[in-house]
Amino acid sequence: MRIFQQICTFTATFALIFGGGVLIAMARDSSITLSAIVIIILNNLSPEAVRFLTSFESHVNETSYASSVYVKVTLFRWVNTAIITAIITPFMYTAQDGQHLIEGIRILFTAELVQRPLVQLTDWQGNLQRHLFAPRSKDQRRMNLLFSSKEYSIGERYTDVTKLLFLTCFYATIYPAAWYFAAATLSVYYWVDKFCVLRTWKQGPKISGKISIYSVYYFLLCIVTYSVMSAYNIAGFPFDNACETGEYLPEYYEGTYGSEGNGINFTISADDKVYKFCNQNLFRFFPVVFPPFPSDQPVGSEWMSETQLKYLPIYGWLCLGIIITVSAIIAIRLFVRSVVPLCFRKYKSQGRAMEDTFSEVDDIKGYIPNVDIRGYEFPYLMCDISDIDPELIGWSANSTVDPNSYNLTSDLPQVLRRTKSKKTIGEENPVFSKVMHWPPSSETESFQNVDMPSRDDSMLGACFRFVFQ
Amino acid sequence: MTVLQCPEPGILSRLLCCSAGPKALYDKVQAIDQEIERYVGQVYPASSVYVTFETEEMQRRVLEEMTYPKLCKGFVDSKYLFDAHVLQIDEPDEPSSIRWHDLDEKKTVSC
Repeated sequence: MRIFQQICTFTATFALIFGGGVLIAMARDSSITLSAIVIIILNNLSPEAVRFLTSFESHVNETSYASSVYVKVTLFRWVNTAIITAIITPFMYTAQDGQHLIEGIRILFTAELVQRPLVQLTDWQGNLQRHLFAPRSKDQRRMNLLFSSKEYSIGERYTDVTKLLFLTCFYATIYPAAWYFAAATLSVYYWVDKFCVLRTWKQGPKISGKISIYSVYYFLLCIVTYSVMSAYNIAGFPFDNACETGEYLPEYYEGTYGSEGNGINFTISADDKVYKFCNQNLFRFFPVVFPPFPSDQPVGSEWMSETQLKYLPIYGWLCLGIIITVSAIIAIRLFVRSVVPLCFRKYKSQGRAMEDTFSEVDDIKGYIPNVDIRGYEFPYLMCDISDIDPELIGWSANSTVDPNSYNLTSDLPQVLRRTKSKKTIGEENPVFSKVMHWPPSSETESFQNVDMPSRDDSMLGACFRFVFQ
Repeated sequence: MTVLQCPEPGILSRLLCCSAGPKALYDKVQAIDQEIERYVGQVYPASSVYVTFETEEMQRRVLEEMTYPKLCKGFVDSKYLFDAHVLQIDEPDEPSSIRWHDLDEKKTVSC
């Protein structure tokens, strides 16, 4: 069932990507700036759309859910930001001045550098909620909800980074300034994210390190992309589909053509050579050319300069080497993950075990079944909590909110009464999960007398902590 | 029944806020009540258990002793069996990460 759900949501994601691609292509017909704006808007909307789609999937933990969102958002952003732009741009516009590919990439990088940090720092949605909607709420519960801050997703933060890295690797050969843009943007992201994580965003669920493991694959794919794009871009330069024939123009062509009025004015002299059409786009050669080498140029239609002839083989072999290495790394990792557990123990302890006991740790959360219900501040409990320490619930409201008022098990007798059912709930047929707690006798000892390290709450201390912690 | 006396939402509320009328909400609650009533009284054998240990050392000992290679499950020491079943033991995610409403099991596991 879970696989079927994922197939459906991935299909919907591909449809979204296709729709986004069509929108970008339509905007590209109008202007390169408009297409960049459409890409930026789609990139901003994609996490919400993907989260909506992923809500139809069933995941046992937040790590799995976040990974699913991460894969889809990354796919969406990689394709719409880098790949679609490359596909819809005619080959001959690759390195031309004006409203063409390079200009589009420049706009995208500038937007990455400016737009996201601005939106994040101004937090316009949060400010609207707190200052405009919250004072007009109908009750305290709704006002409290409007004051709760945004929950951050580590997967989404990763997609921002991998998208930027992918865009850089995709176009860095024809637009080397991409490296500087990427470095500046990542620095800005680091500081803005640090500020938001420490000061404005709400802590999300504590997910495991799987997302960072997945990210390794994305970084490897970025390296592969860079090697492939470098090889093909070096082979395709100067992207004009024109090859020198070695002949000079006949005398009767000499002269000045065009007029100042329409902006086209050129002169043909006796030194000008004759060019003919030749396809320099090795990506679209048939049969497929991989990796590109100077020998792949059609006989009689060679366009590569001496520098290209010298360096292209190096790029070609490097590209092949990188692809083989990355494939081997991925294959080994998959082998270790799927075959090794068949013959060896999966669990291996790492590092030294902590000496603190569970009971000693303040603010620790137990495995208490609960469910988030939209529109409510706290999650609803799905078990009887009469036998457990209330601290294990993981949240505590003010004294006016009783955790039992957020307990779904209390509603069940009312449901049975409403439906006039004769069924009863007993120990032998519990409807909800059971939670038990056996605290050690030492837990009764008081920790109130333990000295806590003092904290400098001055402005200078806060700044120091923000920069160095 | 007081809910049914509330006025029906306007067209704008229906379109923009997806507001359902009191009658629709009442019917929905009744349908959910019936569904809940159907599930009450059935016996649900436990398919997974979360255990928190007092020390990390204890947790490691259990995980090291009771996790087995998949191909060696037939050679597990009988003292580690539960009702003649080999327990599948894993280190779960943090409590805040568990999606309790999605922990449904396949029919083959739950029966």
